[in-house]
Amino acid sequence: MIKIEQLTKTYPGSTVPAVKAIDIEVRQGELVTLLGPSGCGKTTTLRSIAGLETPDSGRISIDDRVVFSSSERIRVRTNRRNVGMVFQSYAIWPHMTVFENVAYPLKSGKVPRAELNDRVRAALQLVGLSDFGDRPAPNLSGGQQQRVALARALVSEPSILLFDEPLSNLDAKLRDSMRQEIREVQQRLGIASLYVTHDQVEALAISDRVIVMSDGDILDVGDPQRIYERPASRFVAEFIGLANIFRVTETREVDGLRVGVSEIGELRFRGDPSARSGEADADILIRLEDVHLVPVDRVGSTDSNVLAGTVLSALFLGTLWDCLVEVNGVRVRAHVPRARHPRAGEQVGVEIGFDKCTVIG
Amino acid sequence: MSPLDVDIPVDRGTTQEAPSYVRGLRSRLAEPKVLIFAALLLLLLWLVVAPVGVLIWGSVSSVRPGDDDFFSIGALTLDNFSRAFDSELVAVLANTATFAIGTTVLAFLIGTYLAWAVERTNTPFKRIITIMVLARLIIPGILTTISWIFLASPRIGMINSWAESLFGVNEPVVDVFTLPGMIFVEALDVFPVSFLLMSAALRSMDPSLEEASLVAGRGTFSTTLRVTLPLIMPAILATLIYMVIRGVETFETPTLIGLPADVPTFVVEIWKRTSTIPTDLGLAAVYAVLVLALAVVLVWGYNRATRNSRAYQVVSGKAFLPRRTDLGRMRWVSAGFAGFLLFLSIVLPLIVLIWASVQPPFRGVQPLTPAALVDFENLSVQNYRDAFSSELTRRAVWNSAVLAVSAATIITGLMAVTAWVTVKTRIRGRQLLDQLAFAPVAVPAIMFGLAVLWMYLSVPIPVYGSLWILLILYVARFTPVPFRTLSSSTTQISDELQEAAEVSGASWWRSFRTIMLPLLRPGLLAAWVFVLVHSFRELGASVLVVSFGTEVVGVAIFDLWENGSFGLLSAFGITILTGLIIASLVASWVSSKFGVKDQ
Repeated sequence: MIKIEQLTKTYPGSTVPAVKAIDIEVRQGELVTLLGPSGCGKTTTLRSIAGLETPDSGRISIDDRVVFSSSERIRVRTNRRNVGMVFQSYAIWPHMTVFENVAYPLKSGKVPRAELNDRVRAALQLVGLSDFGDRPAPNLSGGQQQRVALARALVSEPSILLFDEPLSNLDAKLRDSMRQEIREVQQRLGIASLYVTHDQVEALAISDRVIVMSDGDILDVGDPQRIYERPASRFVAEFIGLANIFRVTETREVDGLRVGVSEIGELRFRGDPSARSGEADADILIRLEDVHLVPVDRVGSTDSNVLAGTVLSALFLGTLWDCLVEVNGVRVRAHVPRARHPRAGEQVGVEIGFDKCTVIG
Repeated sequence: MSPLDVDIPVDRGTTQEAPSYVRGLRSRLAEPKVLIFAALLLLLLWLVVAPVGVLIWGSVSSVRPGDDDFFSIGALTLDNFSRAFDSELVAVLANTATFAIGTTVLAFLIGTYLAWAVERTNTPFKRIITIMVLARLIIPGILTTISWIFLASPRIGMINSWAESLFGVNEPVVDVFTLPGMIFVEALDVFPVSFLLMSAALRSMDPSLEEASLVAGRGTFSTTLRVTLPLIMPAILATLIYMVIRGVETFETPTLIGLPADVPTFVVEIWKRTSTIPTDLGLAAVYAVLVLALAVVLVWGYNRATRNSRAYQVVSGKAFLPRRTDLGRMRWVSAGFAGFLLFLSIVLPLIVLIWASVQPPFRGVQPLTPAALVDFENLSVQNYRDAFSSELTRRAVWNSAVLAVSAATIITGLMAVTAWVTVKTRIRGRQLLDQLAFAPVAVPAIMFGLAVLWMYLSVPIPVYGSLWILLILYVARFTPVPFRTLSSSTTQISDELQEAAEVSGASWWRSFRTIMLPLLRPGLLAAWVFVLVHSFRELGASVLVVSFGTEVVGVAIFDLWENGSFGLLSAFGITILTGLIIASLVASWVSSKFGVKDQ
């Protein structure tokens, strides 16, 4: 369990804080990701938990033990915090074998030889490297090195696990399978984990909860589906998944639906019941897979929003077409099923369901 | 740094139950890295700054160092300076500048040509060229200087006698006892340094930068002029400045050739004022301070040049496959020219030295001719017997070996930790440590010797007359290059490797010992060998500090030269060289066998 309260850190020589008084909690057995663009403060936060950075103020506790507190003047050294950490570069020591790498955290704890052997072997088995103990560490592939790093992080049975962009140096296919493995191991051990990544797909796939950060602030916290479907702000919407975002003005209520004027035309959508009619402008988020291309004669339909548009371009991505459509002089991006091949210049109807328009901001 | 940026030790046994964290900043001083930093700072201040301070003080004092009231304020005077600034100073300055710059230009041209041929062309015999240039590094400069006196002195020089016997020329055709002669001899001694620096620059340059120019339609010549040259300009500048510093401080050629040739330079003047009667220590100190000022300006320029090279990011330490120019048939010419240079620099001096070593003792060095070569009656191995049995030479070898191994070990250890502190910590003041470790580069050898001598004559630490004072001198003098080597090796070791050890529960000492040191092994070995070789050939600083019983190899050769024991010194030199070559072969075998492979 990790609890962070009011954590603030400004690097020497910088006037802007890297982390601004944030609160984070990771419960027992939970995997939480810190997601954000580079320089958003996510790695600083993670390194502060490990004790590799010293925050300016705030309080960090691991399993109810305070490891850092500015007000109480407590700072437990990194090597006394009992955390497991997987680094971006794997940080596998090249002058040691796989076994020696994994055994390293146990030696300082003065573990008996037999127990040490058993625990290292168990950790290697957990990551599927049972037969690799005697290998010199540099002779492993990237994926194998990352498994060694994971085994090393786990072997001392730490209170928490920290992951610093562990998959960013792997190629795309390996990343997918390692993602699953990390999740499985974490679930099996039920260990509180904080996972830093800038890859939103990875964050959605692996987490129980996602924390979106930008410029040292937390912008949104929630389970992956909620974050994807109803992001807290325009920034979050744009950072996670692909999005069309339009500004609507002059909203009014018609037949239980809200109607607003946007740059692509009039949009009808299910509004927030608490919002009053005619009140402030809003941003409308429409995910790419929720934009459908339909025959042009359906324009003006009453079942959904259908606007007239012209296909500008379509790129084939394998599973689908990534398509740009001009609607009322504005570009709308759509993911179109593979079977329907949009042609440039084609006149189409652009259909957006009432409940696919999400009000944000 | 925030006041909280300290590790507060926590008792591991009790943290699980009741938190009994040690609070407050009391423990700040007990933190290992702060302690280490403070200790290193004090040590370097003592080793480097204190002696230089004593010397500067000596330049404005009317009392001789070692006298009781040396440090009294009342003895302060500018008299030494006013005596120094006369017409002779202009001549000394002009000679020093001409010698240093001339040597630099010639050595740079030779070194750069060889580096280019080896790194960027298909010149054959690359490996042999490289090995011979590296071998040149370990030959003590005094031996080749003496060889060239045997070869090109106007009276006894072999070249002149060959010219006479072959072409009947009666006038000397070459004369080493001139300023150009000095430059020629010195350049052949120091060009390997420019070879190393320039080949590193040429090797580590990203070839795609040049390829982009070729693709853009520029020819090879235009690409070299407009892309290659500007890119390696910072490296060229740094090399030139470093060589000029070396040229200002070198001892052998100015003393052995410059003194009889009546070409006074700073080094010769300091040497004369301190070791020949009547001495004038005040004036020697002023000259030393002036050389120091000159060297400090040059080092400042060097630092600027190398800082810029970092901005260029072409010397990245990454291994590229460099573009090689196909020279066609010219490659044989290129190899021949390289061979000619190496013949002048290594082969010819060694042949002469070997020839001199097999002359009967006290017969002088006869010209090497085919007739003399087969005249076995007049050849002798007596010099070798003497070299092995003489008290002086045996003592010198033992002293140098003890000093070289001790200095190498101490410096390597100290600089590994210093490099770690300056590269891997954020302790305030670490740049000061960086500058202190590099500062000895600016202190010319003879001045360092003088400074250390005076310091230990003036402070009540009884090291004068023992090997300890030489060890202190060597440790202080040879820190810069090992420090730079180890800082760049340390920089290349990712922070995460040591952080992973800390996260794994390792203390600072354990992580340094089990992670940093093993990964630094190639750098440690390089630094160790560097100090070993340079300690062994050291002369310019030792010459003022040795006393009876503590002679080192360089000084012993110098003494033998002054006594006219040419045969003995040649035999001694050849013996030493053989030992050094065997030692470096062992070292390279060890490094290839036990070095950590690069990833």
